Amino acid sequence: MRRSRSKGKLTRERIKLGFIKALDSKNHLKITIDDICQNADITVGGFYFHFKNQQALLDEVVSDYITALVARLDAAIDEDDLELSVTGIIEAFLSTYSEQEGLTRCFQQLVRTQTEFTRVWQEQSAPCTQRLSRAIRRVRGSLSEQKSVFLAISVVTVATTALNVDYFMRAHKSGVGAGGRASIAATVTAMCQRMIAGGSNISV
Amino acid sequence: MSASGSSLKSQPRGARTRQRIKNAVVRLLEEEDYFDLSINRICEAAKVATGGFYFHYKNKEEIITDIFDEHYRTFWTDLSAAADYGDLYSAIYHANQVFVRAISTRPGLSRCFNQHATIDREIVTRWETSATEWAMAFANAVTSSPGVLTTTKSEAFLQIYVLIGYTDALLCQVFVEQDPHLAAMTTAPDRLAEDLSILWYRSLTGRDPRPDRLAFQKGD
Repeated sequence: MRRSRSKGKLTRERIKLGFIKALDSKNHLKITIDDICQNADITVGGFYFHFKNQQALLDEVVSDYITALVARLDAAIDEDDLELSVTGIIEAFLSTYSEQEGLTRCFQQLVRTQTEFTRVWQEQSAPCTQRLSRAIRRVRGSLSEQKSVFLAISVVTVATTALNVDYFMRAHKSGVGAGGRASIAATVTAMCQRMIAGGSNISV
Repeated sequence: MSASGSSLKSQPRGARTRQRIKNAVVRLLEEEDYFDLSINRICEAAKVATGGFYFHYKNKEEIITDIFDEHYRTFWTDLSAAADYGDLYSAIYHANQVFVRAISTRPGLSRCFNQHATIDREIVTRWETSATEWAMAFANAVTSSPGVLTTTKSEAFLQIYVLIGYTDALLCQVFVEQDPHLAAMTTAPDRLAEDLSILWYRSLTGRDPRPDRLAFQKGD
């Protein structure tokens, strides 16, 4: 009994991995059940035993992704060390991206176009941006809560933008950012540090 | 992506009907999702007979492509005027104002654009091409500005390309996705443009703009 259940669980994971693999070469809207079954080495019947349809699979894969990304962001933030937190957040985004490129792009598209995914991401990432904004206020005590949240969300937004830049640079084989992902990370981290630090007493 | 639809006068009749259809779609997108929009609804709003519609457009996709072309051409032209500003902060503020106005006045169109970007690689490529050209020109203009930290054009380009992407994504979070944590930002578009500009300026120079350049921030 137990053995067969764990086997079922393994198959389920294999289907998810098959889907994630397909995302590396195709847009999620163009992936077929056949693509997934082929990658996962299962039958179509096997697929439907585990998932009601492809949407259900997409929902589960993306929600797993969000949970893992948020956990990683949460681990990167140290409320007593702003500099380390900013570096860690950018690192967390870029390494998640390099491990699961197709899935990351799929996630970004869904967050920007489908309300349900937008809401899930907003809710789940909110505790992280709150923690980052507290770290910001420890360094810049005079900031209002609203402004420090704005700065925290800005850091996360710059980090996600860095992914697109990396993708773009490689797609266009541009000499810019030739140092690769590490040099993009360094540039973007320094930009965020300067954005947060400010040079005088302006309240942003 | 300029604010209002183009004027109807002084155009031949066919062009006028086309413009009316486009304006109607742009208006409707602020209330409805593109994919829910029917041709009937568009004809009704544009006061065009269905036959008249099909004389001008094969389908919905053709109109939206036409609309994107027109709006984004205007948008990038408006944005490119930034390079004509004399000093770094004015140029940055101009660019952010154009961005804020484009997205805050037409969030529905921006959402529709993002949806299309998901399904149509061509749209993304065109956006990236325009963004690259703009960032290159802007990088060329600013690397000689006093206070700018980077001395190489490629590094300046990288930073500016990131900044455009950041502004676009942040404004979509504010106006299109309506992130509740950024809700307060929706009330004063010019102030938001200033907040973004200060972050651009800091990122490029490591300093704050001079207080007398700012309209909303008085320091504390």
